[in-house]
Amino acid sequence: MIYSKLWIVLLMLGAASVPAAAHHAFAAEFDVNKPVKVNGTLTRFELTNPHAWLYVDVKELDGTVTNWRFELGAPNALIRLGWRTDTIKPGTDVEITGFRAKAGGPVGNGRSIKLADGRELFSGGSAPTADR
Amino acid sequence: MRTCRAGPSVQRRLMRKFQFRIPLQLFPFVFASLWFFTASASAQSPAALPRTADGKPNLNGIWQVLNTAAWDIQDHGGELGIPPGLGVVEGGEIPYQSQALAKKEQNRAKRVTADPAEANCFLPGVPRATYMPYPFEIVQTSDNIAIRYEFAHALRMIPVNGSKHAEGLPSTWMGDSRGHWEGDTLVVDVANFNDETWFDHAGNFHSDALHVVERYTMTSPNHILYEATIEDSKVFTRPWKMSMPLYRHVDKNAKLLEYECVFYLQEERYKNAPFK
Amino acid sequence: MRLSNSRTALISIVLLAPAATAQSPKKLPDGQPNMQGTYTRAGVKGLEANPPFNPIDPGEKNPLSVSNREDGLGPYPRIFGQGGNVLRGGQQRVERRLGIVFPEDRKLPWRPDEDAKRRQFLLEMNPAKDLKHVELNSRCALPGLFEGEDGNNPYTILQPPGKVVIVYDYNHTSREIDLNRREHFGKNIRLFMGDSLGHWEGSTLVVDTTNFNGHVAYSREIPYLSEDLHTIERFTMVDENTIEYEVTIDDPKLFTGPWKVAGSFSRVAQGVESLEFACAEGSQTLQNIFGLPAATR
Repeated sequence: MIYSKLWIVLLMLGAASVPAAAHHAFAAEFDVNKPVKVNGTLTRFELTNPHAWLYVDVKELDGTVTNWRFELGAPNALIRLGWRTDTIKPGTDVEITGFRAKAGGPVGNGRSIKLADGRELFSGGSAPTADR
Repeated sequence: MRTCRAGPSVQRRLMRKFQFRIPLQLFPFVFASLWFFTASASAQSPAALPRTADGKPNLNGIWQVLNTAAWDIQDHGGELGIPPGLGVVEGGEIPYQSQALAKKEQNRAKRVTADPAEANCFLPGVPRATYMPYPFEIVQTSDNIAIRYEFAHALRMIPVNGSKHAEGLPSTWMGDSRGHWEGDTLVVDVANFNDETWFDHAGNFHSDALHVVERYTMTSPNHILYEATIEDSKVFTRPWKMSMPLYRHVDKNAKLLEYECVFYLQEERYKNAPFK
Repeated sequence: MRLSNSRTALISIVLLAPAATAQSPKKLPDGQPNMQGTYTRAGVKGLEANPPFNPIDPGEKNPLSVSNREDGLGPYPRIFGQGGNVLRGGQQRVERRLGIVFPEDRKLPWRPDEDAKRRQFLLEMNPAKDLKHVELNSRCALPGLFEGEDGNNPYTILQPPGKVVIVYDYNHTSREIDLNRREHFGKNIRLFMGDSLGHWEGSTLVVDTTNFNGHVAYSREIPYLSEDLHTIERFTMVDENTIEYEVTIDDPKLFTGPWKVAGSFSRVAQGVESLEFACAEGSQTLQNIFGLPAATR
């Protein structure tokens, strides 16, 4: 749709730095003393409010697989930029860094998400088209 | 209704004209009744509908149902905490596919904890939002109609600008609504639902293939006939329909208040937090 | 067909033009100036001078703070903060008065004992001492005031006869400003959004709101205002695409006098529609803080 292409151009030209609009008190929910980095395979990408989620199968050292979930920001801006739940395909390998939830469990925030080739996911203005 | 006091001479002439005797005390009433009915005989409808500046029936206001569909959209008897009621499903039967009926029974069995709206305060979906036992407000302008629901401050925006359903957006709890007028009926086409809501507390449910067409027809200044046609090829064998009157809140200063279900539920569930 | 550069530019401008056109009537049938449309908000919130230490958002000195941009990373990738730019379709946000504008030195007139109480309250928000010490916004509570987090989601103003209704995408919030009623409800009607009565002064909508329920935050640093809160808001359409906004916050329980916050609403680019923002349905915040409550395990 033509509007989204024009928006992308203008975002690159003139996006002022907008502070990450946190829905909530991140530091009350996640433990900054418990950083986490996982490598795994994406099982699900959900564009729900108030937070989008990435679900990732992570192989533990003993071979068992744990499904981790990582909280992202609110998705409406992404949706307006053309992101959809099928923009990242299940089965994609990802590396995610963040912090664990205070209540524990395989839950964290997704601070940075990298693909296998090193590309940072969610960095640019538009949804990646290569994966669609 | 206008009352008109006719003077005694007029009364005598009219009494001669009508060969039967009308008690004098009743005469003003009879005269007024004749006046009212003669006037309305030449009008299009018994009582003119309020209209907006662009000529549409004016649905602005606070409305609510007076039925028990929220508990069960079909005929049901009373139980502790559940009032009895006649169903709102036309024809009485909900045409479930055979495997889907089993799921409805499973839902019903665990409804006390599993009902997404009653037990978990989630958005009730459409058409359940209409017949939850709480008022809602129709906010009508030429291009957009918003419906604000007191339950969980649920909300729907209904563009009435000829736009089509948005393509490819993630599914929603309250659906993507697009409205248009057919004469004096507001028709709302609702699609792109998720599969999370129930139609009532009895466990009647749908899939993400749900498609609802609502019709709002004002039948008098204080009544709307509400009809909702339900289609869901994954759950039902054919489309089916609910219908019910909506009643206007005519109380002075009627206003939607807040039923902040989620907040109350959190206060209850987390009252002993932290749990360790 | 070749288009000249100027025609291409003109078409681009037209395509990106906000939805208001010269055909929009200036006045609606009931006499209200027409402010209808969809807008994005700027400002309205702002830090007081000498804000207290806030363990929820540790601040620049903490390298793990969400406010620290030096490593380019907040709690989530940058793109999640881009909402406002998307809505404005690339139009530059016009700098207007934003944030606390009175008192000019931004030193809010706290009652000293209430200021001390809220500083203590803040310290107990991380780790959260109990449910009451969890930020209201993260509980998906109705926001009460415009100041709060809205994820850069748009606002739609509807003006049926005798009312102004503002619909926020964020948490599917809406509020109704009654132009005909003159008396607020009694003191036992307490609402997150308060009870708003409005009237027009020329082209300014003046809104008087009381009957708040005490579960309203102004900001991360002011996590609650009291039931005695009284706000006066002024919405003025300064051009076809911009509404200037100012709110006077008067909470005699917490402050010795009123203070004012300014901001603006800018019309969104054409084609921008409301999106559903179902909040509680997808929220895992309380369970991430406290774990699952017994009832749902």
